Amino acid sequence: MNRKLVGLAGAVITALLASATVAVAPANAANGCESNNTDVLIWTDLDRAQAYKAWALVFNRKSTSICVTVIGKDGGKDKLATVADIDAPDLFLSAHDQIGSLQSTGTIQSFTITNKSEFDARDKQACTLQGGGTYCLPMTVENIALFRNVKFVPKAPATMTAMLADSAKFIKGHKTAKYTLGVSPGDAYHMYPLFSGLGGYVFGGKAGAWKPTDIGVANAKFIKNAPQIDTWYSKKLINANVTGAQSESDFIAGKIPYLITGPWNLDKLRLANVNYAISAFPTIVPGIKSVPFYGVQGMMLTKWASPAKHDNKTAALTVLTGINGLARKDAQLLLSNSLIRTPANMKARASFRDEDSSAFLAAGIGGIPMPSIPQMGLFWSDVATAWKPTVAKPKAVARFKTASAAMKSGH
Amino acid sequence: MLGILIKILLLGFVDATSLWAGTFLLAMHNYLALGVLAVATLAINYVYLSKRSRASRWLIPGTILLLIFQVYPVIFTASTAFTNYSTEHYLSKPEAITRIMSNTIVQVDGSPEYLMTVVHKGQTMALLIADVETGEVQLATSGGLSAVKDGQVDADGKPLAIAGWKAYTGDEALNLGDTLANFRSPMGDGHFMAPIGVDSAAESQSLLKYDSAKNILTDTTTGDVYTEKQGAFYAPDGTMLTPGWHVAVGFQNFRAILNDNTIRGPFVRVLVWTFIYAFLSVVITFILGLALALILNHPRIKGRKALRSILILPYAMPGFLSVLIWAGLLNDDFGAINQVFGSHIPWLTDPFWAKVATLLVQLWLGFPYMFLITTGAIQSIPAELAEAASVDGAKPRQILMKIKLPLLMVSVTPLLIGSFAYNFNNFGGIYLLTGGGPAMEDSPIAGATDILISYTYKLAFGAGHGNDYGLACAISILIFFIVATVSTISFTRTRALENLS
Repeated sequence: MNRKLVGLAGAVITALLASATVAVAPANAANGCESNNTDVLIWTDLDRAQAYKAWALVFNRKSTSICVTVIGKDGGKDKLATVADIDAPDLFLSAHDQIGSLQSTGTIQSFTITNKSEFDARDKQACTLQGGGTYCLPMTVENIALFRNVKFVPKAPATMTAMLADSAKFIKGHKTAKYTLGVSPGDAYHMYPLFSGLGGYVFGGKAGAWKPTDIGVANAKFIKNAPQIDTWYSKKLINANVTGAQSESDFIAGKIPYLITGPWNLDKLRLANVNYAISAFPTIVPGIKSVPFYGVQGMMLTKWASPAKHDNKTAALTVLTGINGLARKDAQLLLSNSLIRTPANMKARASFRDEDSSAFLAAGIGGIPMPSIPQMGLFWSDVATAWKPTVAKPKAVARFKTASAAMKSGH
Repeated sequence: MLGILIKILLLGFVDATSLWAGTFLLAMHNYLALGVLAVATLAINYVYLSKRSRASRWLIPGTILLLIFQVYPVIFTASTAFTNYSTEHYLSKPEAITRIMSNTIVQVDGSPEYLMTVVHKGQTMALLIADVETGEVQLATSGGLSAVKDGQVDADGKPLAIAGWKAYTGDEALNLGDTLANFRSPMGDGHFMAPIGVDSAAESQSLLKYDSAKNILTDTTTGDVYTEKQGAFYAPDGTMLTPGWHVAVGFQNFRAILNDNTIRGPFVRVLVWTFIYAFLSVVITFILGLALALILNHPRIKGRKALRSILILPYAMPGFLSVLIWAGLLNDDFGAINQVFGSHIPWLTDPFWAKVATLLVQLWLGFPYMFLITTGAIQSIPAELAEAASVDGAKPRQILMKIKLPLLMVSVTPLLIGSFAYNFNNFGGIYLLTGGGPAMEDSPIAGATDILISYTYKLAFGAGHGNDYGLACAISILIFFIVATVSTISFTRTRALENLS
């Protein structure tokens, strides 16, 4: 065979393969955008993607020069660490407590919420880090509350004594019941109302200015009240081996009268045909309010929305706080109505109506924003361990003292 | 002819992939990687097109895979162990300073909300801003702010263009890019009016100032000076300014492992349990696998093929799923095992029983593998040997212990060592089942069932400071030395067995 011919064939095939591997740019047709628009990419979690996509259609119609695309991704925070620049989002929706670690990796940047007077102080604080920068735009707010099955407990318990009495009555009628309050003790987030009700706190200071060295996991007041925890286990109010999923299915099946959960389970509970009611947490120690962690879903501005990367920071900021942007009443109300979550924008909140959401909001009064500093990771692991009795450490006081020492040592 | 065609197609594919990758590297200005790619591609083409390099043709694919999947990760792990690469030290220094300086711009407390229209007079750009509360319009130029008399706003509250200035449309304003984003209109006192997007603006200030000559940051309000220390700026009171950047820290990670009491304290206990766990996992799975293989090798057993297939099932299921299912089955109060047997064994909360649970689950997951390899090995032993032995008067038990087992061990021992190394680092088998728990008295991190690798994971990724890759790499290097020592000793011993055959 002619050598030249072989060489030529090789070159032609290489060229053909090369042209086949060069990707064709994806079309924006689905968003109703024109081709010369500046692109802004938003990542939300899978559950919220649909609502944000619907909002993006409205925004893209109003704003002729920007094209917003929404992609739903679960585990988005981890994916941000490895995503290629070309696929990376400009805006990222996540719980506000992620801003600490995302800021320290340089993944998100601070920005200004121009209409900040329309937001509640607590929501703005949640999005603030040491140094004063704002790292997320509060979109919807959320906290956990106490659910009860009205069939077993007609009246919300105002105190822990009342709750324990209800619990004892329930166990009398259901001999096989191993617990009555549906919550996983290995989950420091869902256990926080009980922790705060006993006088515990995580860090001193306040949101945006936490003092990581002032750790309140074993403060004197809490330690004085902590023996009550042992009673809750012995009276079968809570059970150390319960997982979150199990408590939800037991509540739905009518096997337990109480459940601690948040608005993310509303859909499931509404479909389940359980006659539930939502209320605030009972007072455990007179004079101390039992409050949950308070959280906001915040829209963050990533490092990719910058001149060196996607070169669209101005467009991304316009999507955030422009007159048709996510910070404004119309956008927040639209999103809140489709997500059934309380909007953060107070003007939108005034027009938002949902009974369950109002009950959640009421249960969250006085709740502190979940600390977003990196040291919070210690709380999640150490306090989760402290809640669960072991053969070696059956007493709560000893376990919380260990947890406190561990947090102070930085582990 | 067909050979040439396949060769052209494969080489064409390699060259096309290189071209495609090269365009990306060129766009990222990564010239070092581009050079490596070009040299590698040329070398591959030379080797397969030249007649002189016949031998290398067989070596090249293996060498490339070795470089990518073995050599590179080893070099990367070893070099990372000597850096502070972690959540707070993720960027390079210039990136970190750019990020710090951009994060330090904040809105001035108590300043009003402004809507904005970007305007221009020829090449000169300016911002028309309207106070949302009062409707008062001002013109912000690079020289400063001036009031606009009788300024008008549209329905949204955005200011309308004024005489002498033309408004940019949304598209035009976006296309201004950096010119608009970096526009500042000084307001005195270090404050300035800055655009936020294309239709709003805010009175802003920079809280920190960077002095690149002295390499310090100064707080513009308090005058505090931030100085550099090991990959980050620190305030006078010792608080770290995030983000930091990654720098070489020498043996610091190794020193941390040796000096930190919370790490060192439970280390010996964890190490001992790791050896026990890995050793027992191998022994019990091997004994069960071998027993089943011997039984199912007997010609009088009916339906051997079907039974063998069923026994392999636990191996065919994804291990992670099985472990998670077992975690549910073993739940002390609600698990199927305690409920079915009416027992109250604290499988996951008692240190002893949790260890038993991890071994039981490993037995379930691991015996099919041992069953498979021993079945193969038994079948490869010539039947004449057993016949000869029985002619010589050996009893079945003697044939098994003196003939079959020693021959079996020759081929199986290397696999047992491999299995030991695997179980030594069997992260999923521990972490997904017990999470290393239950918690122990001596350590907030290491639980009763933690093995080295799960302990490492908790130390490096589970504790409060995000992900500490440097520390994780340092511990992996230590684990590598432990496993390597054990394997070397075992392999030397195995040679003695080989003399048997």
